[in-house]
Amino acid sequence: MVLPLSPSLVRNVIHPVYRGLRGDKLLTTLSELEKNQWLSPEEIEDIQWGRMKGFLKEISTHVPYYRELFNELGLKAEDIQKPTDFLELPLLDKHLIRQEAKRLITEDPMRRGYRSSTGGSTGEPLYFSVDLSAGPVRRANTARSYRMAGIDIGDKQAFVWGFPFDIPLKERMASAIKNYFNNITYLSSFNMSENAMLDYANKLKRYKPDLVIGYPSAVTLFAEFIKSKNISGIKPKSVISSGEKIYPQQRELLEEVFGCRVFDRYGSNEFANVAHECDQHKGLHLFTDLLYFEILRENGRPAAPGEVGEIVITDFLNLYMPFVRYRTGDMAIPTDRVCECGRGLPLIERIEGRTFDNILTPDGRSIGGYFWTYLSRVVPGIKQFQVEQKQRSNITFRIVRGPDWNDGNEARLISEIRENMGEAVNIKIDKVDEIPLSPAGKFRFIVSKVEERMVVKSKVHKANVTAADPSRVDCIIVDEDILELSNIIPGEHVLIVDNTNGARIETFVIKGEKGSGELISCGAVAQHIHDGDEIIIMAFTWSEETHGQFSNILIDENNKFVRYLTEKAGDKI
Amino acid sequence: MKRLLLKSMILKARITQADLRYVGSITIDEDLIDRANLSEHENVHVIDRTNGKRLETYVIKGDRGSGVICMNGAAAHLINKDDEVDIMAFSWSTGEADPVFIEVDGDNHYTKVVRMDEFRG
Repeated sequence: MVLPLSPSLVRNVIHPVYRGLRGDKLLTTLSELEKNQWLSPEEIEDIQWGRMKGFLKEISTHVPYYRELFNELGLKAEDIQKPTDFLELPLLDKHLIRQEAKRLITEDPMRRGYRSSTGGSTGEPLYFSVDLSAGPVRRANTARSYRMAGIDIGDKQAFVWGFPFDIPLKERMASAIKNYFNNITYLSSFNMSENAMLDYANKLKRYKPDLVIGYPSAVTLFAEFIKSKNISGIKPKSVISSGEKIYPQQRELLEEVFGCRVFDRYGSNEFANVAHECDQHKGLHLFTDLLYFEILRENGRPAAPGEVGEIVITDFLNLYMPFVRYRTGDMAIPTDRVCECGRGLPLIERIEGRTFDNILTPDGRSIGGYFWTYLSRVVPGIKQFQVEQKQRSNITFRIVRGPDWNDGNEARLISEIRENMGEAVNIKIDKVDEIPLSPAGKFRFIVSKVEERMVVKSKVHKANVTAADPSRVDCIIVDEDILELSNIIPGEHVLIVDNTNGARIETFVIKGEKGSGELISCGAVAQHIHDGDEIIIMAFTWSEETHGQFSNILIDENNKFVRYLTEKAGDKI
Repeated sequence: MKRLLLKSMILKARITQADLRYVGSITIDEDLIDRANLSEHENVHVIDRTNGKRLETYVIKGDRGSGVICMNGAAAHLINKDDEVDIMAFSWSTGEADPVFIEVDGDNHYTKVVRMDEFRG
């Protein structure tokens, strides 16, 4: 093995000389970014909105997709002055990027881009381009974020990372040389067999990394191995967890085995580093001087502090192929706390993992893939597994048993799951010979199909239409008493069926005078539901449960409540 | 993203009764409810193959093994005894469609289940 260079040689000589030759001003940018982070939240927001305005101005001029979008919306870049204005712009997702790839690229001939892609861990990889000028700024930002974890340029870094096998030898050689001069070494997370890990451990004992950085699932596996074999001598200054959500039990183990603190970071191929934990270890700082960060509820409104929402990013650095309000598919929890470290960069509470392939807990949290892979590693004897969920309160954990399995492991499995999902969940462990493939022939280790069925929740039986008024607008007016008893609210969608003539109509409800008994079919409804007809009003809901509340009432010829109904087949009234 | 996906379908069943005086909606043999992965009070689309009428209503349980499929109340105006019907239910899901198709004999007794990859309409 080639021995690492002295960190101070890299930091003070190789790096400045190389950057000087490239002339990319990385070090100047770094000191500017370092200064930014200590400004007040208001000053950082000013920087952010200053950049935002320039960014919007440029893309609405030079990028065909955004130029047309602004036109369609009747907006000018100057109309967007504050966060609420920004909500006017539509979200961008991977599908739209694939569709509009050409029109998302700037027409400004001075801008240059380079091709990049996501890893495709979510299915299909996404190909896109990044502004050439973004590179050095992103690298400076990475240097700033490492310093949050006490790691400086030149410090020795060991990556436990997905190592791409499919790149050409020439590129592999080039990156090996670059890594050498940057004091970076790679351990492939694709091979975590005992033999490979023994190799990695021996390598790191000699390399003496200042930083171990990698997927928490892989680094945890490595740490477990080191612990079980009583290997000593791997004592980095910091561990950075990246690429997946880190669980508290993983963090604990890593801190114990490596004898240092763990720092979480969030980033992606699309945007490089987005957020990083500081030495307070209470959340991640967002690099809002370089990008605009939103956490949104499913309805597109901003999530409140403490709520889980989807991370949506606008990157000011990529003017070549700009992404505005890009849906990352990752979930996070916002906070309005200010960090005690003194940095003005805003915080997020934590990263929660991917939006899909998550298992939902009865109390509304979601548990990403990493927990389940972690589980399958810590409980011995699981050769292959699949977790399936159809209702929040139920999961089925299918396992193919390996030679190390013993039935005592089942209790361990259940207690680990309960600890994460809460006591309310029913867990079924299914021991199978093989895991079935999905209908599309794919293997998926998480099958989340929490489905909602449409079920009847309200019914008013045998109501009498007191008037039909085609001059009003389409709706049905119902005595407020009847609405309350049947659990229907004004504005709710209803299905009306006419016992007299068989007509079936869907419309919505307007509140009628309380206690009046009035029931008026209005507008076009009146063409089918006539004065004096006997009707039934039904309202439905979507439910994960197969048995819900059903308010089923019988009323008399004056539309007065008689009693609640329980229906059985063949009941007649 | 949630999609509305077919979840359950009972193919070519026969209406055994249609009664305007009955309370409710569609009564289905509980055995067929279970086999088709339906639940009581669930919304279903009833498609009348005989006269082309289509309606939405909800399920109530009929005697297990009786083969009953009865249209109750106002729906009996549209769908008649001895009509042949398809009964469908959908669900909102983030997963892939994996519906069960249930085939029945002339007495509405379960004969077999077909999965989507073998189903050809």
